[in-house]
Amino acid sequence: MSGKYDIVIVGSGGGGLTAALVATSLGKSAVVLEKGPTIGGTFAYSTGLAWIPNNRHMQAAGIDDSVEEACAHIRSLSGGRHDEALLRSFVTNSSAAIAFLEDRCGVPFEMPDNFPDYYSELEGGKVAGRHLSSPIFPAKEHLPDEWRSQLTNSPYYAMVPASWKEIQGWGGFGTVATWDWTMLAQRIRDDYRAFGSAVAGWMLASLIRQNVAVRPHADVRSLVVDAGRVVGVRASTPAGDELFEARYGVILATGGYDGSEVLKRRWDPHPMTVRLGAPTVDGSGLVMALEQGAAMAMFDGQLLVPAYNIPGEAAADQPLYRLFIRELCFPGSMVVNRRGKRFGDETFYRDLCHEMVHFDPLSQEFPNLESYFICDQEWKDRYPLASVMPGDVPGWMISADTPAELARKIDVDEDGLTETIATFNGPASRGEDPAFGRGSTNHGRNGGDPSVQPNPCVRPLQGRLYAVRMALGTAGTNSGLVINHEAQVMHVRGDPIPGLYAAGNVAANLAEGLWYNGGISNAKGMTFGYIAVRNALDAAPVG
Amino acid sequence: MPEVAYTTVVHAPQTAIWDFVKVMDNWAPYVTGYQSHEVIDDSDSIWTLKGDVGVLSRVVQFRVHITEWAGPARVAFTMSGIDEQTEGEGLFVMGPVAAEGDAAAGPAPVPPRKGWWQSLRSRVILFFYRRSNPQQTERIVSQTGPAASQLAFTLRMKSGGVIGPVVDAMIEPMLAPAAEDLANKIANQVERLAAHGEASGG
Ligand SMILES: Cc1cc2nc3c(=O)[nH]c(=O)nc-3n(C[C@H](O)[C@H](O)[C@H](O)COP(=O)(O)OP(=O)(O)OC[C@H]3O[C@@H](n4cnc5c(N)ncnc54)[C@H](O)[C@@H]3O)c2cc1C
Repeated sequence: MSGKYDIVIVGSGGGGLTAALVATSLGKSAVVLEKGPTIGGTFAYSTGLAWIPNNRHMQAAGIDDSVEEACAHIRSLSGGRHDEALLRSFVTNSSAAIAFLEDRCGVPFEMPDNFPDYYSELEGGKVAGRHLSSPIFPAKEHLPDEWRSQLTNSPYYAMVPASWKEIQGWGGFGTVATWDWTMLAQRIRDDYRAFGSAVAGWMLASLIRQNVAVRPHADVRSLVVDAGRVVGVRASTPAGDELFEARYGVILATGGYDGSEVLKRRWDPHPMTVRLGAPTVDGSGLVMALEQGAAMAMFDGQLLVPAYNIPGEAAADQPLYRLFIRELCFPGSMVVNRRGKRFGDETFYRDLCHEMVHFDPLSQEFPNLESYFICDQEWKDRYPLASVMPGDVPGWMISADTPAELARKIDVDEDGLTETIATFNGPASRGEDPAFGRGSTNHGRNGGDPSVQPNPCVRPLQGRLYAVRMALGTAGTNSGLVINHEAQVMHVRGDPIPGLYAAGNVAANLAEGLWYNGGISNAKGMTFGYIAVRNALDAAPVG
Repeated sequence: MPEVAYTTVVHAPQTAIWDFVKVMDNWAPYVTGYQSHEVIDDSDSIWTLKGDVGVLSRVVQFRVHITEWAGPARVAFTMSGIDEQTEGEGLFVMGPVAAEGDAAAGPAPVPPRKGWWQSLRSRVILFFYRRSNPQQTERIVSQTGPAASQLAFTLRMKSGGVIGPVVDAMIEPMLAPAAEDLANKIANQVERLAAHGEASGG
């Protein structure tokens, strides 16, 4: 079974679904080919935030922003590694892409309050407004049953079918004990989706309503090239080997290579990460483009995130590692290495991860890679750790009455941990952290506990202590295909490869260089999916 | 509180079912998600199960305590999560096949045999369930076996703590298939053993 479409899209994350919606809304035919059994990719696993500067929701809320401010912000923080044309293309098109999805495709977005940029204090930064997400998605209402079961649900967030805006209204993650869990249980029975699965759900529902061809179990193996132009793909599907021809272009939206141990070892300085995203995001799109001579840009490895595993939890046949970000901001906690020493500002996971992969050439080891989250009794009594609710102490959680005893249990230097906690606790009683500045940024404070003052991220550690082993996680990759501002994939010799476009993590971080802000990955996927289709449709069709 | 009851007809004498059920090791591997179990004494054991909760799977341990050991008619037990705040109770009832509309005796009554609509509905549900759960056991109904008996299995679970309602909501869809699967596998095996004239252990 073969087919001919205006646009052929490989991968069903945010980039792929957006591309299909844009093509369809512009009156063109599209097919989405997805290798996995369900639709949504890592996008549907994600917390669903998109970093969209100068968006209409912030304008409506009276928050000033501009393309110039956003460009200046990224430019000053990219480490000189961004591509100016790509940066401008991203910033000018991201708000247009969201407006298009809302107005033309029925995909709603809303602006959670108080979401500061990671670097809001620096040039062009904002304390709120640039993060958008979707309201919850009532899947039963909007998708036929056979499609409902094919919409990826997040192993991380399926238990919390609530939107960011709602959660903020309920007081944030620090107040879970007071949420209405009976109402949330009813939402689970009614198959409501949240976060990334909600955004993907709204998108999929729109595609299904418009009878767009969405094909799970379609594993694209190669690009089809005719006279130097990419004119289609070959996919292995339950029907066999299928050819999908593209009149205007093929859009690779296959994600990065975080699901491939081989590619991580080949390309990344720090391959020792555990995967958090979808297992099918294995770099195959990237490899197909490289086969056609595409250029690749190497960045700083992966989108590193602290992670932890609750023993016994698994997804897709491997231990499930959860993001360990918000929990690290709450006061009464710290992260230490084997020597019992802190090594970064725990309220900024990027700092922590950067230190976790620090290689010491004197000892020839990664001194911070093996690290532990330590919290005290009050932390345990007040805050959740995934499904471990405030006050619950599961058997796998290691605890002790003194730092020395805890250190012994987790094989950390006893004197080191004892001294670290004592040194931290003095200034912490005044809400200060002179060593690493916990709570010194808007971003850090936003993740803390506002009821703890003067610093919502700092309080001395007292009473019984608890430890959780940390892991280094990957939520995506930064290296990838070189694209231009029109989302065309560039040949290693310098020109665009005709007919080939890329959106999302399959492309390198050229819009932002070494800068990163929560929401930028999802935003780039959707924005370049939008840009790619619009530009592809400007070209003369084949056939 | 999520609760399911499932009844199946077994073409074997009631004593054959009892002989099989009374030896926990016989049917332990038929429990959905079974990983292992450790017998502590005559009435207590620790079970390790792997539960698929949507896209997430979780290995959980339960302490199972037999509260009633009344062969050849009934076995009742309670279960409580070791690291989870989930409690439950289960009941096997073995007896003659109940007539249409009969209710089996016992504290956790076996529901009346299904009417045509109910059984059609559950067949449809089961069909879709099996499509996504290929391991689900089909009931191989022996037409020629000896006198028929009935095996009814009832299972109730309840989760406590703040997020208890959400855990229950996630467990609910797994319970009916798990109960049916266990009862069907036991029935199939008892019939197989009866047909071969084999002792069922114990
Ligand atoms: C827990 C978690 C939370 C996150 N939260 C956020 C957040 O809030 N905001 C944010 O911006 N980022 C977040 N991220 C990162 C972000 O979700 C990803 O970077 C983003 O989803 C990448 O999108 P994408 O469109 O490139 O592709 P993906 O979503 O990765 O999808 C790619 C798809 O392509 C398919 N595919 C691959 N190869 C083939 C092939 N050969 N043939 C057919 N199909 C193929 C894959 O199966 C997959 O479905 C998070 C990540 C994780 C793990």
